[in-house]
Amino acid sequence: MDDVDLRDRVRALLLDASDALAGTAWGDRLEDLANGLDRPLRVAIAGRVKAGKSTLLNALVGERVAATDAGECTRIVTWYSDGVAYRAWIHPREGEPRQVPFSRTEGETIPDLTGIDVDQVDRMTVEFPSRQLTAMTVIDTPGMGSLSTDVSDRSFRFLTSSEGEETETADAVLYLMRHLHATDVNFLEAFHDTEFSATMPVNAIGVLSRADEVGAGRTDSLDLARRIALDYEHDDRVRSLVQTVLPVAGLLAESAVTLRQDEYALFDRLANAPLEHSSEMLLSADRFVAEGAPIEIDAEARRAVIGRFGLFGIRLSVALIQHGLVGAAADLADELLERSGLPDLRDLILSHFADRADVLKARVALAALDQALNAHPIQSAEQLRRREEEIRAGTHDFAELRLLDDLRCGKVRVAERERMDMERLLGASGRDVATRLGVDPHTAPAAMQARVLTELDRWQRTAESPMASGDLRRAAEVLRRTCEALYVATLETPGAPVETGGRT
Amino acid sequence: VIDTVADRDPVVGSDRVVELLGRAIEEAKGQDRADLVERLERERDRHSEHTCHVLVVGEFKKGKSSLINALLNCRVCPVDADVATAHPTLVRFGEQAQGWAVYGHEDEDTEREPIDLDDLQERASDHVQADPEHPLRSLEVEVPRNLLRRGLVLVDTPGVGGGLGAAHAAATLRALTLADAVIFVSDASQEYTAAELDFLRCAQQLCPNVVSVLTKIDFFPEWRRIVDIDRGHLERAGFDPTVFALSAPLRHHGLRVGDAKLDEESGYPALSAWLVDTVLGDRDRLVERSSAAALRSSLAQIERQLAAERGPLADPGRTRQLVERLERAKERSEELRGGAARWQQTLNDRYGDMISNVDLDLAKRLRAVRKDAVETLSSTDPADVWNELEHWLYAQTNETMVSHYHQMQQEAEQVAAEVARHFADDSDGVAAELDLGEADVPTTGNLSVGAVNFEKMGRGELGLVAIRGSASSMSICGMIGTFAAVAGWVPVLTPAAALFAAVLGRKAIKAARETELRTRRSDAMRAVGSYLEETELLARKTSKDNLRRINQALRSYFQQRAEEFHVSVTESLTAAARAVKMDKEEGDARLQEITAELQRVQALLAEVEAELPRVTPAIR
Repeated sequence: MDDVDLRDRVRALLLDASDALAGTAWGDRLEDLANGLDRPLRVAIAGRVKAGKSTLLNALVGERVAATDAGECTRIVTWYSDGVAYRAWIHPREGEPRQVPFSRTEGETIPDLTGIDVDQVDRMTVEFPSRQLTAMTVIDTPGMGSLSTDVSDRSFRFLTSSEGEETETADAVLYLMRHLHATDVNFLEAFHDTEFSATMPVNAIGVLSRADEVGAGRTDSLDLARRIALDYEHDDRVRSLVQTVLPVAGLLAESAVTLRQDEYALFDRLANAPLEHSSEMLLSADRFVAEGAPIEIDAEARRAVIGRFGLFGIRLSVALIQHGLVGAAADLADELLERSGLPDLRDLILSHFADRADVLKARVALAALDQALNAHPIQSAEQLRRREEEIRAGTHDFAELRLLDDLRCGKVRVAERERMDMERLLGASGRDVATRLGVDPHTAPAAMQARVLTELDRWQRTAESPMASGDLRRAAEVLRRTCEALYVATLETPGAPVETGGRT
Repeated sequence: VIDTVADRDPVVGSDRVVELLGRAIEEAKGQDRADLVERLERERDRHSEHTCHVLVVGEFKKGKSSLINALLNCRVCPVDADVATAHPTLVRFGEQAQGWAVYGHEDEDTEREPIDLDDLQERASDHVQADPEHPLRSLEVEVPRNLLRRGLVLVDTPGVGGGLGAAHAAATLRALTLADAVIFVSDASQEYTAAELDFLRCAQQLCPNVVSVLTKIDFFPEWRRIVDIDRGHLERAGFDPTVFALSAPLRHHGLRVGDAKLDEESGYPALSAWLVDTVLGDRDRLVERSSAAALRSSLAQIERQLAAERGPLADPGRTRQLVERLERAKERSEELRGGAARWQQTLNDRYGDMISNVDLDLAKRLRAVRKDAVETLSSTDPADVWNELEHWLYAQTNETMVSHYHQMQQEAEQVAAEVARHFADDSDGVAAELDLGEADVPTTGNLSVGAVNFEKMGRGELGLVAIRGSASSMSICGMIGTFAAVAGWVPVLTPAAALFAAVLGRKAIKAARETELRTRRSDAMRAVGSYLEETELLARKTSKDNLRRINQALRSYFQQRAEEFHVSVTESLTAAARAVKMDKEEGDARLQEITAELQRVQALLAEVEAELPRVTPAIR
């Protein structure tokens, strides 16, 4: 069954259920979900307060559309999607949505919320033409752990919305953490445990955000952040919650993609000034903008630049120029962007979320259907459930995702070595044949086929082995089917992402 | 409020007080008053063994260790961008820089092993796998720094991530009850979070001197905004809105290149000044007040005793009257030290009240927690909220214990004040009879001075005080580093998760997704119930121990004062009788001698009066 087939079958099921439940809150909700199967994937950015969610959002969409500030700032759940023009709507808890104007300042286009009582607002939707948003809708959330409890509540409600509430949920989550924190793990576990939000390790990515602030002012902050992220990935608690952890310096990324010639000129001047002068200015943020600085640069420009790049970004840019690693604005922008970790994150989102969008969305929809049928045990429930079961059982992707989750959460216990092989085959690090097999993408088709057959043999034997535990045999059965699909794929178009979901 | 020393009078200085105490000890020896000698010597000792523990607390990676290093301008606490401090590190004065690693379980003897200061980094972090039989408990460092010379001890603590719910939270809170001051560290990257403010709220209840600092101001351009926002949070919570803004790199750089302005900019000179003026200052003031009271009380007793002997010699006609008054004073002083004295009865009655109040308070608070937990569990599936619930329950019980402790402490203070008042009233009777009303001898003060003023200063001598100060470094570090149930003012709770596991088996709730919701709920409620029972049991025991200690301390303090009075009166009677028996020649010689002694004692008393603070009783 290909994805369109899956989508159609889920849609038909949801629409039938919606009819059966007409008149209840679930009737409309399921219809919405059915229609939503064609929409772009929804990725929410969640995390503790001040984790840098809005900054990362701006970097991801390549434009400053979300307000950022030193204090707590984002107070409304906001949806950003692709559209023909800049438009924004406020959705009050009660009453009709209404459009709000944008306030445009230099380099920013931000919805103007003056005079709006955010406590009465359920969410905001923002549309603008963006290439980055064609494949996905990004949702910015207020941080958890805020002193204004209301703000935290709004996020929590959104991310873990419970039965009967008219809140739509995200298909995948980027969870931003600074240095790992007890409350982070707690929060993650909490919304991971809520069946309805359907957040599982397979659709959550951890982001070690504000990576440029690790070690506050050290020049090797980004390397350190990488090391820390790697440690987290090996932490069992973290592994059971997110697929992987990536360090991202959001501010650096956001500023890199919008780096201007005059900013480069400023860095260049600093880099070519006498060392004692530049190091005095780079001693602290205060000194950098202080009056009577030894290098004569317009005070307004200095303030702007420190706001955009931070002390770390400035120090890094100056050092890059001083060492001759970059020689022009475009080079610097590329270098900063590369180092910020944003491109890696983007790739990861594409390979992990976008590729699986239909399965992820179908999962959310079917979970909602379960809830609806639990709430309203109508006559046709039995029959609807049977159809749901058929879809689940007939779609190997579901089995793969479930096994991945179980491996991650430790529900299926296997040896470390075996677990890594299993996760790779299941597409945890990428869904194309070569990545799943762990071989070079340019490997000859015949060699790939041989490789698949070895794997197939291995899991077939495990699945039938009387020595293996029940868990392991069931896992091996899933992998056997995965290998079969991989084999078919190597015969057709090696290198393409593999939908292993053939009906059996 | 505990000894907040609201009126910060200038510090007289240890040297001068020790000198006055020395002269008073000589006078007490001259009169064979071993009891007074002992009390005054104990006072004198307090001036030399004078330590002052300052705990540096905050969440992970906020720059606690860097703060201590910058304050002292040397690298004593290991700093790493990734690895967090895992063991408390204690920094105090020493003529030479040296360090020790302290090993051993809480309830065992500890073992101190000298270590190279360069190894500290390795030792303090978690990298070295601990030997469970021989766990590293804390690190101790001595450095030759002037700031520490007067007894200041800085304690670097492991971070409490997630506030009161963190595994370390209870232990750190308990250590706070022994600290003289707390530096609460947050950084300029963001405003206070809810967890941080909750923690601060508890710290304020446990320690009189809490100051907020904001680190890393060199790195975050918007730090002034964050300071303003944090001040707002502090003000709204009803705390002192002072925030010290700090930068360790600026401090080190400023001191290295000798740039005083840069040092000033780092904020550290202001923090040092606060430590000296407020923390050490308050400590000195408390000790001085206590010494002043001991001096006044002892010298007044010696003066009365001398006056009693002088009476028959100077004015033989009034001898009978004098002896009659002394006999009456003796009766009263016997009453004062007897079991029927009003202060004793007050203490007995109020102690009983306290025990039942404390039980009631505890039960009430825990019932509220239980009610919330039950409400949550009956409206949700325990499998969904389990992890949150564990964390929440642990945080709740920790907070409950702190409030409970606070309540108990306030009640104990009230009782102490009441007992002091009754003791003062009772002893006034003794004093009135002892005040001989001699025209030519200027009377200075009366005997009750030491007791009445107890409310504000005497606590330093009472066991109550164990709450504040008189803490040993060992116990503070022990408290931070362990869950073991040693005697402390606040019980250390086991994180809820650990106990739940014992009740249910950790996997039960998660794995049992397919079983009935009802079974799951009753299992969860059983686990919560048994956790709260355990908590109540532990808290009740701790509270009872606390109250018993308070009771004993009050009793022995006032009993000692009563004994002193009794000795004073008895000695006066003996002296008067001796005087009557003297012949004229002997009497004249003795009169001269006594007059001189009396003048000397009165002069000393006058000096004490003029120089040392006299505390007006708060309740009278």
